[in-house]
Amino acid sequence: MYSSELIRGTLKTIVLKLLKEEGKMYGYEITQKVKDLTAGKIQITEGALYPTLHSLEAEGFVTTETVHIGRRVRKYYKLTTDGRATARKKLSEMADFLGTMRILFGSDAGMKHA
Amino acid sequence: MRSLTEEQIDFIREDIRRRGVFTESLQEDLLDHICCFIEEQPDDAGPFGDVYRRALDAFGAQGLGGVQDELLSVFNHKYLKPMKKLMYISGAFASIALLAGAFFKIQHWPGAGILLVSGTLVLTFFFLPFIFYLQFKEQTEKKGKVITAIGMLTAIMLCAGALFKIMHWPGTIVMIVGFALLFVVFLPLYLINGIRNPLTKLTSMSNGFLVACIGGNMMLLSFRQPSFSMTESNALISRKQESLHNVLQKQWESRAATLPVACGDAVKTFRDSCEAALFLFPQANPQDIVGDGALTDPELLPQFNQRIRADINALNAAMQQQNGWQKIEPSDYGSTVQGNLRFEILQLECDAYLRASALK
Repeated sequence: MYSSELIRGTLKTIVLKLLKEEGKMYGYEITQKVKDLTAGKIQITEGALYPTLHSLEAEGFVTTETVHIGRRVRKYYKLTTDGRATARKKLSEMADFLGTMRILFGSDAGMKHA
Repeated sequence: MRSLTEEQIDFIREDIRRRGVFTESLQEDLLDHICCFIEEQPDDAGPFGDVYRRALDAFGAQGLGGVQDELLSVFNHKYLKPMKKLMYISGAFASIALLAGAFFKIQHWPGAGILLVSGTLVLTFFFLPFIFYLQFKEQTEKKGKVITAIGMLTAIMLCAGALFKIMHWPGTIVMIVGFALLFVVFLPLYLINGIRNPLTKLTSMSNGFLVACIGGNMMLLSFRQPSFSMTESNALISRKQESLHNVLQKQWESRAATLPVACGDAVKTFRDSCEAALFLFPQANPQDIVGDGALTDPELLPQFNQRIRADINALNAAMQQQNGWQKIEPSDYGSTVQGNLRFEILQLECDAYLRASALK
């Protein structure tokens, strides 16, 4: 598990990347997907996920599609055209950032400074 | 895989609300999220109550209310930022416009009115509401919110009232209500509320007394100041004398030096009368003339206007014989204080003109 400070800064990018790949997803599905993909190393907290999704919606980057499941409503989040452009930008920024981090810390940073 | 009954879903929905989640779309998200979590648990995971508790534990120490708080803080941050920017811009504009407007007004330069009006409008309807909104958001207690709201209403009314006063627009009531709110409602509430809290006692007392002193002075200036100030009337008389002097100098160059002497006594008497809140009107009882020089007696008013008309007609008749004099329109006189003042100036001009003619 990584510290929440590390995850917080990347949460928006993670959500945008998943929505770009999966098309549409609901909140619980996002948390489970991230957990599976990272073998439980990254667990998105609900307290951070939903405000992020709502904020992306307010900015016009995602839109929702509601499906009634019995007595409850499931909201699927999917990228808008703006959202897709933002996702591309964020992902390329993240790739660049990771490259810079690698230069800064090196591949064996953990061993050197442990 | 468990399945949830309709009653259990309704229970969760109600519980989410009870735990402080009031945003409807977030309620839907969380309901689905918790239901998904519970449905994924094996059938032998225990009774519904235990599984539900585990679902809530996943939300951490802050619980469901924490998600709502986080949502609010994200949105507040996003929307408060542009609002703060607008507040700085409107505040800077209002300050510059009001300072420049005051300077222009003192100098009698054109444009003072536009600067003062635009500055006060931006101050009253943009800057103050922005401050109010930001202060209001910071207040956690209901009492604090109420006091902030009253304070802001008071400030808006006083600013609007000051604008009416400066521009000589009707609407003195706005300022009176503003002062009543300030001294009778806002200040007592602010002081009592602040003094009770040891942490805010010192700040509240100093701020409260400062506001009371400034407010008291502002009230004194607002209601005692004549609507046409001595400075303005003196400046106007000086300008009139100057133009009169120029006209006369053109026509009677050799006699021009005697003009200030001719006008001097009349000007002095007029200034003395203004200071004593009396106009040069022999028939008027001093009690009939109010502080700003306006006549209040309805019987005296027609006489007064009649005399003005007679003087103006005489002056116009005299003027027809001379070039360089402007014909005085009937709109130049009236029963208002400005009318009275114009009348006095006309009298001065008339006197000076007649004396100058006599000298000739």
